[in-house]
Amino acid sequence: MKGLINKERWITVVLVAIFFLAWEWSAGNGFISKFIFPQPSRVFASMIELTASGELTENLFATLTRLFFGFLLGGIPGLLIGLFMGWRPRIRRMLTPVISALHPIPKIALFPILLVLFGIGETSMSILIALAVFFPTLVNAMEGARQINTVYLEVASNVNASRWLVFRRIIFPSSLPFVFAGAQIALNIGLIVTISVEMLQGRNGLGRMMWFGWQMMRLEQVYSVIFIIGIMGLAINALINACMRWFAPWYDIRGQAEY
Amino acid sequence: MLPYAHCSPQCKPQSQRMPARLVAWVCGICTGGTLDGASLRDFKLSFQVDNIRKEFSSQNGSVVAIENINFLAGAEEFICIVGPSGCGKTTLLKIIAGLALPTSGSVNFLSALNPNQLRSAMVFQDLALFPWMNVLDNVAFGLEALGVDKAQRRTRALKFLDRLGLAGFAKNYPHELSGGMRQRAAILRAFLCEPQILLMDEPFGALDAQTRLVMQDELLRIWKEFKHTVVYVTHDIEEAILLGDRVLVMSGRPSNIRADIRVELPRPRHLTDQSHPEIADLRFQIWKMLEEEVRKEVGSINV
Ligand SMILES: Nc1ncnc2c1ncn2[C@@H]1O[C@H](COP(=O)(O)OP(=O)(O)OP(=O)(O)O)[C@@H](O)[C@H]1O
Ligand SMILES: Nc1ncnc2c1ncn2[C@@H]1O[C@H](COP(=O)(O)OP(=O)(O)OP(=O)(O)O)[C@@H](O)[C@H]1O
Ligand SMILES: [Mg+2]
Ligand SMILES: [Mg+2]
Repeated sequence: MKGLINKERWITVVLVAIFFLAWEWSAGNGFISKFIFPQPSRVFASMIELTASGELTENLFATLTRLFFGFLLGGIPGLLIGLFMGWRPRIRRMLTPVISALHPIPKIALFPILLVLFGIGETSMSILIALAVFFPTLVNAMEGARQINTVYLEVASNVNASRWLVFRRIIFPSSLPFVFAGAQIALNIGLIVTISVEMLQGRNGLGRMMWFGWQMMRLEQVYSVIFIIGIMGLAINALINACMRWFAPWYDIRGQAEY
Repeated sequence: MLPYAHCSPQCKPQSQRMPARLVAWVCGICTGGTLDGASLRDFKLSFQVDNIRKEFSSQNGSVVAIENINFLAGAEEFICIVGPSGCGKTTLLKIIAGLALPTSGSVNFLSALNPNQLRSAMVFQDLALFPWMNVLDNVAFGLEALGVDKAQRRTRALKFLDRLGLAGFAKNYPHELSGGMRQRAAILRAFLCEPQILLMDEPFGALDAQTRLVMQDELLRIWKEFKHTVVYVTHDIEEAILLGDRVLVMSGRPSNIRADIRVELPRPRHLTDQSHPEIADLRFQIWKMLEEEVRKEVGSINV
């Protein structure tokens, strides 16, 4: 819990507070357009209203559910293929060109094709999110498995360790820090894509809420959603840090111990 | 009796170019010819290093690390290898361990393996403890690979952790240990799986002189207990004389075995023992050889 009250944290809080106060003040005084930049107090009021009516919670839940399933659907294959590519050079050489070619394709551009293939609905959206999550997960897992010091693999082959043991005890655990770094990127990209696709075609979700906000010129609502998305980013970061501390406790402290 | 007459067919040495009788004869020579007929018959062989050469090639040309390496190792022999830095000691150990292939030549194993026994286990020069496992899991990794179940791994590991003074650190991660403790853990990982051949690459390098003495004692005790063949690389001439049945002195690159010296001192040995003046001679002899090799190397750099 020391991390919550450290000095750097307070500096951040103060800077953010100054930013919001300046915004509040200049929007109130008419320095910036109150219409395009509604004061934070009004955004906050709208957020409370939306929460009270249940609209915000409901849409947040919809977005989180989509993100969760999309993340699993794309992350698990990305993790496994990535680890194998990092571990086995031949698989890596075989698949790298394919991955490199597919990676930069804007996934959202594939949405129409998915709609044709899977129809309008959750399936198309999950697959789209999965595609977005797949690549960063894969690239990071691959790098994680690749950076393993070969001497660890020598130790394993010295005692005739089976491939499964090598994967379970060496490749997987030692890649975890990279895997979590990848998961953080993947969750953020996944969130971006979830919200974008909700704007295009959602019945509900934060993206839909935001889109309605624009259409009905309720900018407080748009800003409320943006604010919530920011908080989700913080939550993702906290989640990843917790996972790192829990599943890879050796990594966090390693730097200090000159190991 | 032939050295590998009791072998089952599938564990016959890969190369049979050298007839067993010849092997035994050479063995008699390489043990200083001190074995009489009876003890020659009892003398079991562990492995034979047959004309090994290892060449590393990179963009900057190739380096012949070792060349013409030949020796025979007895089954319960403690062989120390000394040599100038960079001469290929680690390379040789890795080849014996089967972790690297020689450019030419071979290592032939001349004794049968018990089921579930490892041919060799190595203590790596850079330790290679897994940072993501605690000490207990680290030292028990060899057993885990051998398929020993968890409870048994635990009891065996704890027993030896205690013996090496690491009892309170089973749940710690390697980065929480001191340099010397890490080294002990690395040693433990190798001999916990009771290999036939124990390959040790400067295992006590990071220990203080006192701990080193205690650890050397402990190592000798364990060696007597398990009777493995030990190949022990060290920079320290005194350590080599103290521990080894034989000291192999390697030359500078491309290195071969310059001398194969039998240490005929009774154990337990004490280097300060005045009753064995030959210790000083031996030390001087090896020291002289190594100095020459190093001078050659440094000289060739100056030219
Ligand atoms: N993977 C490699 N690629 C290229 N050259 C190598 C490689 N490994 C070792 N060498 C070369 O082989 C030679 C012997 O290396 P090795 O590590 O076996 O020496 P060593 O006797 O163990 O030295 P030290 O006492 O310093 O540990 C060195 O000159 C090194 O440059
Ligand atoms: N990062 C750490 N976390 C927890 N315990 C530690 C850590 N670093 C060292 N220790 C403990 O502190 C003690 C002293 O460690 P240190 O590395 O200073 O010993 P040292 O005198 O350098 O020993 P050596 O001669 O073996 O290198 C050890 O018992 C070790 O378990
Ligand atoms: Mg070495
Ligand atoms: Mg120290």
